[in-house]
Amino acid sequence: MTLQPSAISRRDVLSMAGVLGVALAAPGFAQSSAAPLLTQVDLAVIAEIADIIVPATDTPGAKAAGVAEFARMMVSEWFVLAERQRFLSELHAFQQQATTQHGKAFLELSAREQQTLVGSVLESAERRAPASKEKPPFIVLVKRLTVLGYYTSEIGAAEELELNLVPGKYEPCARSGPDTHAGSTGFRNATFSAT
Amino acid sequence: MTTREQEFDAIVVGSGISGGWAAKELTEKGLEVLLIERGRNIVPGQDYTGEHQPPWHFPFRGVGDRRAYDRERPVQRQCYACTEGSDHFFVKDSEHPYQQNPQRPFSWIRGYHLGGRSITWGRVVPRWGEVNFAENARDGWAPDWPIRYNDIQKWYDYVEDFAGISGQTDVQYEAAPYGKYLPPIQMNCLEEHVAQVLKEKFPHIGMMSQPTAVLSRAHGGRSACHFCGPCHRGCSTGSYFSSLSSTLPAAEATGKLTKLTDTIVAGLDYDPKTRRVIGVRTIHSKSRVRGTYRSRIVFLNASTLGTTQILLLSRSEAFPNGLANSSGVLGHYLMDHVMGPATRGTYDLFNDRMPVGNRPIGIYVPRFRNLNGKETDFYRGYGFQGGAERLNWTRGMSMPGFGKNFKHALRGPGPWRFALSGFGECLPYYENRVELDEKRMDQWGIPQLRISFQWGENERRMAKDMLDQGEAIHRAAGAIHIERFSELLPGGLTVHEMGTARMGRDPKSSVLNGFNQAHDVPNLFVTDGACMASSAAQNPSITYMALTARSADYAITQLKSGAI
Repeated sequence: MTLQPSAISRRDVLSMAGVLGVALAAPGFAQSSAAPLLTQVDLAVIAEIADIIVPATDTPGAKAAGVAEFARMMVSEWFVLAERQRFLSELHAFQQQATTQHGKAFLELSAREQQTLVGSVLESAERRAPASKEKPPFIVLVKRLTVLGYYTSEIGAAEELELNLVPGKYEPCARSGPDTHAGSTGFRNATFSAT
Repeated sequence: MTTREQEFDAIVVGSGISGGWAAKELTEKGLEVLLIERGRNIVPGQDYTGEHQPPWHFPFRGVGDRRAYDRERPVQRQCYACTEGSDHFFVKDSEHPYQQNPQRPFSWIRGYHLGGRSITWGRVVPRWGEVNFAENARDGWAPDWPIRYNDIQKWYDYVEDFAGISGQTDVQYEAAPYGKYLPPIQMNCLEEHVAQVLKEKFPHIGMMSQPTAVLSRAHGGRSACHFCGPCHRGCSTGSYFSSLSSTLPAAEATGKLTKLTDTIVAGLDYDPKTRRVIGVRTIHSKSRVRGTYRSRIVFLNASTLGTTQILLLSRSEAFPNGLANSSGVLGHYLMDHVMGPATRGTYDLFNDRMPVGNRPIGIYVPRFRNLNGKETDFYRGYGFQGGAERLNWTRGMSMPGFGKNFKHALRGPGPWRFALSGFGECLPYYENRVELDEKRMDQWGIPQLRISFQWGENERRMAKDMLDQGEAIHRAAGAIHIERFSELLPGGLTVHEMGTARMGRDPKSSVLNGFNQAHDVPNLFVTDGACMASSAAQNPSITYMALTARSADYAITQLKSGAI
């Protein structure tokens, strides 16, 4: 095998070790199909959060790129039962927090209120994250799903970033400046972790 | 039920890198060859269904169907190349089970289809040097190799010339001598910077563009690389060496090749009177129809463990413990390369520069330890692979922030990061072994393999040095942040498994002679990774290619002289 520059993220190494554990123990996939799924309201909340993380600017944002639908698919089809349950319960607690703080549902808040709430929850999670051994809170998972879903969508990969599936040449040291759009594909597929 | 008995000059089992070479060499030298592949047929191009696909065409956007992988490919998925767009080139573990010792696990990465792992391989092809062939005799960790560099040098030239190798030819390294190379694929500016720092501060450590079986310019009717990136999805322009793009078309052009796919070799028939293999027993993987094919010589190229499984299955009164196993070493001395220990530096340099295009390779630091004798607390040595890149959008998954500024920051290239990952030599240990599990059969009634593998103290000591040396290099080169990754990956994940039917001078301690011919069975040849008597630290495929071409040439001479 070869080793590319990006090939040794710690997560890769750990996920390899984790996967081996799965391989040797009983896999946890069997129970997943009976698990609860996202409601239309859940989906709408995720769509708003995603669009706050990656908004429309001079290119379309997460909503236009269909990130919520991608997140729904990942949560239902990719997450294992325990991950999905935790994600849903924290998502519902977040919605409850909006109601408690503002007296109305998250979806009924103004754009500014939504942004402030998402910002504060995300910032506090990200402040804790580097030192924390706990599992990533749902807001961090929504962010990861947003980044993955957006930059692998046609809008994110081809409009926001530069998509060149067959470059035809390699320039080892091309110029880059403030207006450069980085390439959206590489040697390796992206990886994702829900833990 | 036997359907047919047919006579060929040669049978080659396996169509991966070494099997493709055996088929090419033997047909080009005039033999009628039957090539048997256990997996399905692959039509180059047409079956590379992931090639050039944009990420949104994959349901899981390239991440892969985790639950299906949990169910079907719990081992294969550990390999970086087994993911959406390429997972169909990896077996389903659920359909092809094997047993691991839970305390001594081994990840057996496999591709059962025409071309084998030559579709998904890493394409890094440093030669072995004199030190590598001489070292068993020097330190006594294993019986002496029956060959030296000068026995194989012209065969490296020969296979490189056909395969098309891009690489640097400015410095001759003892543990990665250059050969007949096309121009290198260039290093980027951070890599050039680190190479320069090494020249000034660590003159005993060299760094170069990886010698790679990817074409930097058109060669042998195949196009130059177009830098799409994920080679392991297949390459319809044949810009990297694979059996499908290179050796099999050459073999077919002779009109002397017969290919059988979906055909599993269940064992070899041996005639004790003539001391020859007289038949190759097969089972069709779908119809379950059994057959026997006959030939004057047999080349086993079923991959290291596949080949050894066939030999272990070929028991007879004369060889109750596996064919050609009078020595008792068959199945023992399994090796892989140490991988996992790595360092990574972040650099605040060249911020107005970035690579454009997806280079399919990185850098190579040839082994620099213990070249002239043991001078560290471990034997042998390691090389570094890796390279520099500017981080892409995936950094956004762990980068704090949100909103307009966050999105804007992710639009441009991220910081430069340079990785140095050790690839270390693994000593051959008797206890690292593979055997048949007589109680567990596969769906064709063939006993499964049971693999038992563990890194030793020498590998652990070497791993520590990989980290210390890597960190020193990053420090000297001006990294602003350095990370160390110390875990050794489980054996098998470097996908350089080798040994278990080793070459040697003495039939009492080896299975094969200096021409990859079984000591016990003169018309039987093994030229895949099973033949290796030590592992060196270099990626092994180019050595398998050279050994195969050399062995095929010898086999023809033996046939012509009537010796076999």
